[in-house]
Amino acid sequence: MENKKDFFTSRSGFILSMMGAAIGAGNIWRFSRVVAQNGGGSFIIPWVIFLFVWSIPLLIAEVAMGKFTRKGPVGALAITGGKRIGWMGAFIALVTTGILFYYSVVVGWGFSYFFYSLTGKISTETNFHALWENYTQSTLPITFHAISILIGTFIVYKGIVKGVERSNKILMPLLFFLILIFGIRAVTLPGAIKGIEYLFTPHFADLLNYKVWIEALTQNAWDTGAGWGLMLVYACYVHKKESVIVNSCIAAFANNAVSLLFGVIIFSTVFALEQSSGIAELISGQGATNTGLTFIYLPKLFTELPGGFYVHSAFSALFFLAFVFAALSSMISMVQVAAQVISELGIPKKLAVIMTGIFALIAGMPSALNMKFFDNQDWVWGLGLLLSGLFIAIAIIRFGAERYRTDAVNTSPYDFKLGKSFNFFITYLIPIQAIFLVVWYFYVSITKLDPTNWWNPFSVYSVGTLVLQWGLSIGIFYLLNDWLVKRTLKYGGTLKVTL
Amino acid sequence: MSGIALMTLIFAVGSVYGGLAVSLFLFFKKNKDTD
Repeated sequence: MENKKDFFTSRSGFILSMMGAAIGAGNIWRFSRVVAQNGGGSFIIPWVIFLFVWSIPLLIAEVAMGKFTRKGPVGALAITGGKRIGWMGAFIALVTTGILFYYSVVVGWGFSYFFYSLTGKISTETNFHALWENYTQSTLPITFHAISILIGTFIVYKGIVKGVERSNKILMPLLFFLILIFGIRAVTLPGAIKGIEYLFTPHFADLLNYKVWIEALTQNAWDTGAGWGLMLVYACYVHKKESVIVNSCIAAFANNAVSLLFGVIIFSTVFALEQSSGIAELISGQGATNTGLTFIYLPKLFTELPGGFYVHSAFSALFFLAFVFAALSSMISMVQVAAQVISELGIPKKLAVIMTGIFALIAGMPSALNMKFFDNQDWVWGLGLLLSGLFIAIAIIRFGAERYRTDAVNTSPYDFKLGKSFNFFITYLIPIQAIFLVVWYFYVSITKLDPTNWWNPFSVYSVGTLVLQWGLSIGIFYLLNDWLVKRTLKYGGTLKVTL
Repeated sequence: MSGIALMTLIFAVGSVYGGLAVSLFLFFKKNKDTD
């Protein structure tokens, strides 16, 4: 799949691509709702702490693994942790691919609402609940899902330099520019300061609530792209001297910086235009998959901005454009992961990309047609990311954390050197956090989300559906382990680590 | 804005944007694009 010409041509290209992978829909549609549901500033403190305890160590581990092995998840884990755990890499790739299958639907929703904004459908006359209901029950989500897959596949088909790097060099600066426009508009609204104050005011009772801490860890686990295999795959295409630690830190901090900016934007606007009633709507979430906030509440909020119809349409269009840029740049990296794993089994790269596009097109259709199916996939593969993080840590533990730190992480002249605390994070903190969260969400499913049907594999938020889908995947990959590893190590990657 | 809100703001913005600024400083300090 690789050749020397298809390496990132610049450090800025690599770092913008990493940012593109990390910054996605979660920064926009999940962060603000979770902040509101967990006491505003009370959430921010643990959220910052878990950035250092979960996201950054795991991102560093992933980038080092990609650069060290020059293989996708299957080969990378087999080389790092031994040939017996190649199936863990396959599971990581499957989790990310499973997310790709419905994430493209989300990108499509963004495209649709961007066009709705341009065609005057976002106005004071609109019933936004009805608009969303009618949209999701139509065939439009399939059309726009197909368009999203087509764009994502085309970009990856063009290769790392002409596709991934070039697109991220365009998408990321445009996204930052759009955020700047929104930021200026939001904080200059009369009363915006109250929103900022809400965002940063902690309540000590909430800080002592363990659920706030769990939500903060969950947000970091799902939001930064750590453990997805995205950074691992991008890092296969960097120069040997490229930094591991500095680049990982930039991606992680930039991701959370964007979340914080969107928090400021949304809370400033909510408090300026709707005050406490707006917070109540944010807290309700209007849907377990964050769709209510983005596609019902925020468009309604835009129609309350001063300036009339054209201002409402313009801000709505720009918002959904930013949403598409953020989500699309993440989707590209997911296509890259899936295509790389397929190509490393001995299939030509371009064919592997086309196969990924066709799989995603077909497998995404149920999510485009049925919101319950969408919610189920979000539940299964969203939680699967925690296992992915755990598997990366296990591979490093098997390799030896100290050896990994010296041989794989501390290898670039562009970096500062990582201390021995990294070993402690990877050996103990990452596994403990991942196992704790999986057990916690099993408990939540049994006691709160689906108490009567928690065992039922066909119920949306059940433990049964997790066990069935994870178990089936892990079982198949475990049985195929020898074949997967053999093929991947034989065909996957012709790069020399000395490059 | 209350004192506690200001302190949380400084903590969050300082950590996230401070971390980003330091990382970017290190990035540009030794940045030699491989073009």
